[in-house]
Amino acid sequence: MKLHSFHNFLKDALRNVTLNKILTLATVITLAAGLFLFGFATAITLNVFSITDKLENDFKIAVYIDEKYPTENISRIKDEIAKLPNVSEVAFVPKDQAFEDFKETFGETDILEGIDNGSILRDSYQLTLTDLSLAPQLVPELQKIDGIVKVVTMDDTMNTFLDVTKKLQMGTIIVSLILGLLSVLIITNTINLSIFNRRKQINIMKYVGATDWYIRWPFVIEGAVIGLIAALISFAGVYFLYDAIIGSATSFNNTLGLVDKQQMILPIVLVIFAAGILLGVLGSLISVRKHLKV
Amino acid sequence: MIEFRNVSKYYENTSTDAIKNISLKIRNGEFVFIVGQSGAGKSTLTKLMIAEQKPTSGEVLINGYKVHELKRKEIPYFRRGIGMVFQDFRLLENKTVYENVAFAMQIVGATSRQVRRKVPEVLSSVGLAAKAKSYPGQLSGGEQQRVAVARALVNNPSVIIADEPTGNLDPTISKEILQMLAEINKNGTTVIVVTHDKELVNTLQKRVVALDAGQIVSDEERSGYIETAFLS
Repeated sequence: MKLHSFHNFLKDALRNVTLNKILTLATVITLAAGLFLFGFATAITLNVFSITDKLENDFKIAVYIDEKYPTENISRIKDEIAKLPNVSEVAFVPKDQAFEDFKETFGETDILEGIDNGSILRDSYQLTLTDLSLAPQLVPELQKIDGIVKVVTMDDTMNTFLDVTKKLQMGTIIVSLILGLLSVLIITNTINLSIFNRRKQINIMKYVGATDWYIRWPFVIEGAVIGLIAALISFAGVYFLYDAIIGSATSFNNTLGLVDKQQMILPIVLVIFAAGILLGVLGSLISVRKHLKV
Repeated sequence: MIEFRNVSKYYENTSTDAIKNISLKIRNGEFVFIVGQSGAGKSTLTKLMIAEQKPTSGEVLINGYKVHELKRKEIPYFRRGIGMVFQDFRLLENKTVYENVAFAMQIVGATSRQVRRKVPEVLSSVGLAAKAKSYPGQLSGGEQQRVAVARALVNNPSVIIADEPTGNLDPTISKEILQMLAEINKNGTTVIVVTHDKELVNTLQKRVVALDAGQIVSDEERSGYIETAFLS
């Protein structure tokens, strides 16, 4: 494309945006609404992933050490465990600590009558995994380590958690995609209306000898400009709404693992602006296509 | 040269032969009227000439192009060698007179300098230099048609096809437009005027090809005064 051609296309595109004010406004509003929903759904999806990642870290595998194992060699077990793949953290829980944790959880019960310390319990290591779904592969490796007498993985709870997490993550992605698709349909329809009004113009350009792409370019640029304007509006909406929500949830942000608004900016900007420009351009291309058959 | 060789056009949806086995030669630099009543096949003939439709059979040859075999992407380049003038003017409403004419140059890749040089010259030749900054909606019918003629002329086409160019104009303006086309023809451009207007045809003594029910029923040089049942 020659520079002076691009200059003409840009001029035509900007003129079309300003000449057809009502339709341009309708398209911008429709696109901004769709992008807002899509952007907010993306923010929710990112938070779901963040929260589930954090909760996943709370699930641990417990390995119990044989009470007859020499105390001075216990640290060797930690070294062996740390060498295994998928283990991100290894924390030692002495039996006395375990006893105190038990009392805190269950209170003073009849079970503890006559027992003053953790001598009935075992020392253990609490393992945090990088990927919880790979826990079953780790268990046989742990059982091979000398000194480890029992491995507890909370299989059922973990599996349920993983299952729910996957469904939740998949669910938010699907909702985002559905909202995105609905936005495409609505936006294409609105742009279609706008371009239908200019079908005569397109026909005339064909008769005068303009190629299909020569006709398309101003509409493509127009679509991109409209997409950009809509993206700016919807980004502002998402950002301020998210800021308000995070602001009201400061007390448990860290506990839940919510994504900080500064960290949210880049992914939301990328998603909204890319989607806005893409939808604007695609909508124009699809709508112009049917009027090029002269 | 424009040549139709045994051209037929059949419309399936209406089961009609719009054109039946027409053979026609138009030499370079000729001025030809194509006449006939509504439904005679004039519009179909025009559409075949500008590759808006393809013949069911036969060959259409224009400016070295086999129009009947043109691929879709070749059509714009073919049309740039033809200047079209329509009954309803077909100007771009959101562009000024200057921009409407300039547009025809821009699509063939003319530079800004070439456009700035040629467009005022062409507008002057049709008497519209003073209206360069006006929009089509601000012009009379006759002025709009002159803009259309200017647009058709600006790329120096070898052929101008005017499809009912005076259909929306009063008799005085119609004659002016026709005289303009005759002047263009004197400079060597082939001009084809499709019309059902008897008065218009009788204004100039030119070749007249008459159509009826999709066939050529008369092809007279310097026909002049037409005594015929097929004209209104």
